[in-house]
Amino acid sequence: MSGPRFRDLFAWEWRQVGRSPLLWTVLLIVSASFAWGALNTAALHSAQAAALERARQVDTAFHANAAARARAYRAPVTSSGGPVAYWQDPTDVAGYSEYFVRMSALKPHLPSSPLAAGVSDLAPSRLEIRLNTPFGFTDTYDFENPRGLALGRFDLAFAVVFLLPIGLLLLFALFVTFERDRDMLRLVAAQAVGPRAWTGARLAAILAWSVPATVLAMIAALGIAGVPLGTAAGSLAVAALLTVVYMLFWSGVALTILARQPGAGAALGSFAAIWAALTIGLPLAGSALVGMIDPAPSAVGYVDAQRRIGDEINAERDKILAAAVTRRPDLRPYADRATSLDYATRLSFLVPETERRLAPLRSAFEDHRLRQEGVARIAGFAIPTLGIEAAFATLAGTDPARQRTFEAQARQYQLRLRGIVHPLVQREITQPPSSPARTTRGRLNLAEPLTLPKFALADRPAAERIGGVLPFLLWLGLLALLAITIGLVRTREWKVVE
Amino acid sequence: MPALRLDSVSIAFNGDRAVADLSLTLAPGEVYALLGPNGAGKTTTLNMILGFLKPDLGSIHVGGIDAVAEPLAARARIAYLPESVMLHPGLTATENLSYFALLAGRRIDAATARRLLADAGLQDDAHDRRAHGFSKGMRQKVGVAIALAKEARLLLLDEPTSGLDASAANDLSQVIRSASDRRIAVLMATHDLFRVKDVAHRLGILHAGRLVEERDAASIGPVELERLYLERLAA
Repeated sequence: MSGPRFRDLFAWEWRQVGRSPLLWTVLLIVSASFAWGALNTAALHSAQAAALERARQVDTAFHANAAARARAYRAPVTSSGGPVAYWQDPTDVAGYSEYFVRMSALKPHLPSSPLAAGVSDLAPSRLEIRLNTPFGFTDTYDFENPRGLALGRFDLAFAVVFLLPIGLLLLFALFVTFERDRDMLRLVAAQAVGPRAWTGARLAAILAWSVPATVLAMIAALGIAGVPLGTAAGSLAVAALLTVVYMLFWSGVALTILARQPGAGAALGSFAAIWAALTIGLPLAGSALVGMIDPAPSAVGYVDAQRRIGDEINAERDKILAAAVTRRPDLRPYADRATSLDYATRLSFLVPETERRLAPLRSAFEDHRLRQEGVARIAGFAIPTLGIEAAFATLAGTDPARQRTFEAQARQYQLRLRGIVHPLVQREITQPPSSPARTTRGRLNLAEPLTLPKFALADRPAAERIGGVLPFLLWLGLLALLAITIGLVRTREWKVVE
Repeated sequence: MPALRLDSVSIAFNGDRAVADLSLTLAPGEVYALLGPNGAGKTTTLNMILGFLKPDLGSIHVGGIDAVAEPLAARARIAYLPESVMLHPGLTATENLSYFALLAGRRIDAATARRLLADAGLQDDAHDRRAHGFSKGMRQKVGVAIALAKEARLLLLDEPTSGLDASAANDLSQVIRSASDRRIAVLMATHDLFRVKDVAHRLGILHAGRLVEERDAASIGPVELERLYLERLAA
């Protein structure tokens, strides 16, 4: 006489587990949390998209106003309409450069964004680009996006990373310990089945219901949240695969504990401890450790340095301007005019000097951020809960790397604008106003506001983003395999004698 | 080939001897009663035969299979009835039987399940009822059916009549006799001296892990058996 075939055991367990109200209750709660999470993030991103649209409209209105002013200021000076000041005059190239070049760099969300709210949702998705803002933009005072997450986040990734394991572990604990807690295990063990096949069949049956249900719930949640499933198919497929592998990882962890054949109380206690360690304890401890070993440079110190350097530059202003003008062969003959330049023209020389002096501090911030991101990448591999959150954010396009790309491109955009506008401003050093008395209201050394290029974020292709996630997916798969193997090896003997 | 053979089996827990130098052989169809007070080592002996405990010394063979080296293969040849049978409360008697038969590597149809339950003495109207409200006697009868379904050549009974009424205990005796007639060896650990006299061919008295007396059941009357039992325990 031989023991049961695994296939028969699995088929029996699959039917029995499928009849359990517990299974469907847990899956219903998990599905509801998925839908709620996806809808939350979709609402957050929709609000951000609306803010971007408003910014576009404000930009359009601003530039239309500048164009209208430029036309109006071609009019001759009259008693009711005198010459306008340069900071109000879009036909004065210097005034235009400082007061009318105001463009928005916008970071639109990807179609798959309801997958996860990420770190970048705390950073601005709209950057105002002006020519003379040091390093491209000022993001310090942006409050809109942080306010959107003021109550914390409950997104699909949170539901997958934190809630799904709770549901799964609850199912494992209550289903697999049922016989132990009802004093049936001896009778089960006395039959011709080993603990590995018996536990394995039940776990497999739970997974056989849970995995498809979870994937379907995920797709349904994203569909409800308005994600165009066809457009984002690649990212969503990888997110679903990550979720399945993550479930297998927790199954391995569960099997390792259940190999000892504990009662429900002991199993749930162990699961709770492991869950808390992986989702809360280790990330918190790691974060505290990194904070101690590699503290962030002082933001207050940076502001202080900005002020100090600003004061230095003001004190050395004439010297800096003379040097800058003298360095330029085309301007060198007009070096005597360096000290009488208007404010906007002065800035075109002083701001690059400010940036040069602040560069070491700025680099310290950048380097620290890069180190933190490197540590986060490694931590993602060491702590799977962190890794899968990061992977979801990458697929959603809410990861810090995309934000950094956006900010770098915004800075490049500013430099590009400077490259267009500053030469026109500085050319005026060689052509000072012939007479202080003007016949037109505007100065008209810039006949029309310039048609400046608009910012367009050059995103990584979806395939590249997916490719970035694959190493973690493979690693998580290996961890899952390892955990399941350890669990199976440990499930050798029945433990029915106290 | 003997249905069960124990050779000089010993086991200790934390240095305390639980079973010492126990040797026992059961021929096919033989019914052997292992008597002894609580803590004498009866259940420990059954646990070792079932492979739930490994003996420190000695060997155990079930139908020629080394139960220590191959516990799963040995268990496939053993039917076991615990002192208190617990069933899946959400399943009917027939579903419980089908489940445990499946675990034993057997697939039985509904008609066979009903026949086995009837053979075990469970009334017909209980076959399709959920086990949730079953009395101990009813659960025990389903347990007997589970043991019968396995068609094993060795039946282990652990205090099988404990808590049963006279009628249920008598039904169980019938089952044991019937099993013996079909050349199934039966080893039962029990306190029930009356039942021992009723069904056993041989009996052994375990005391502090040692087999201190072994007799043919036919050679001793009930009163003498009780006297012998008490004497041996007092020694």
